[in-house]
Amino acid sequence: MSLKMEDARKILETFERLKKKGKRKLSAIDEMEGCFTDLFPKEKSSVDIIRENREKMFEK
Amino acid sequence: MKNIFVDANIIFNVWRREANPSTGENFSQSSKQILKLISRGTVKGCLLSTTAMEIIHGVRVEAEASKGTAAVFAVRQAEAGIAEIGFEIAVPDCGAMAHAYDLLAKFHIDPFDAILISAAVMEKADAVISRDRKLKKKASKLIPVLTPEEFMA
Repeated sequence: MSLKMEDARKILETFERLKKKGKRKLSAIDEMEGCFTDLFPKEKSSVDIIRENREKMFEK
Repeated sequence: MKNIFVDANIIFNVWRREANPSTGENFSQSSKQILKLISRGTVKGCLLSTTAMEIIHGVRVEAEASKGTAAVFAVRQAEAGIAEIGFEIAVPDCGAMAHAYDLLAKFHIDPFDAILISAAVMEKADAVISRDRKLKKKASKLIPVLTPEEFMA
């Protein structure tokens, strides 16, 4: 199975939202620090949160 | 220019302003430096499509469980955050998926990690940046798996 033109177009379209149009701000990384501080349980590490999510996915 | 693949936990370190739950060590600071190197174009930072999915999934699951945060808004914020960093989004091809299956069988690496390591190896990346010690233990024979502090040293 090789990558077809249609596949390539779909990939570009899908991930367009993860690409910023125009110039990026250097301060943006500082500004995003802590943006989800209150969303996740503080007592768990990110590594553990991701591992738990994977386990739940496979359990479903 | 160095080419690195970034694991989901590095981005979460920054977004959660994370400290090591046991020692209080600041995880966010060095992870933020990695993201800044990528944003400035000093290193090429790749984010695998499956890693992006794990990030978005993690944010959505927590937002849905939280009464105060709208999941749609949280997911949009996460996507905008990823876009702001300036990653190259890497989509694993057939060869990478076949290699990942091999890694899963031979090294007992879980499926998501197997795809990440396989894609990084096939892209001839210099390192995978992650704080996942299990991943480091299992994959270091294949590619350097470095914490942000190790990469910056």
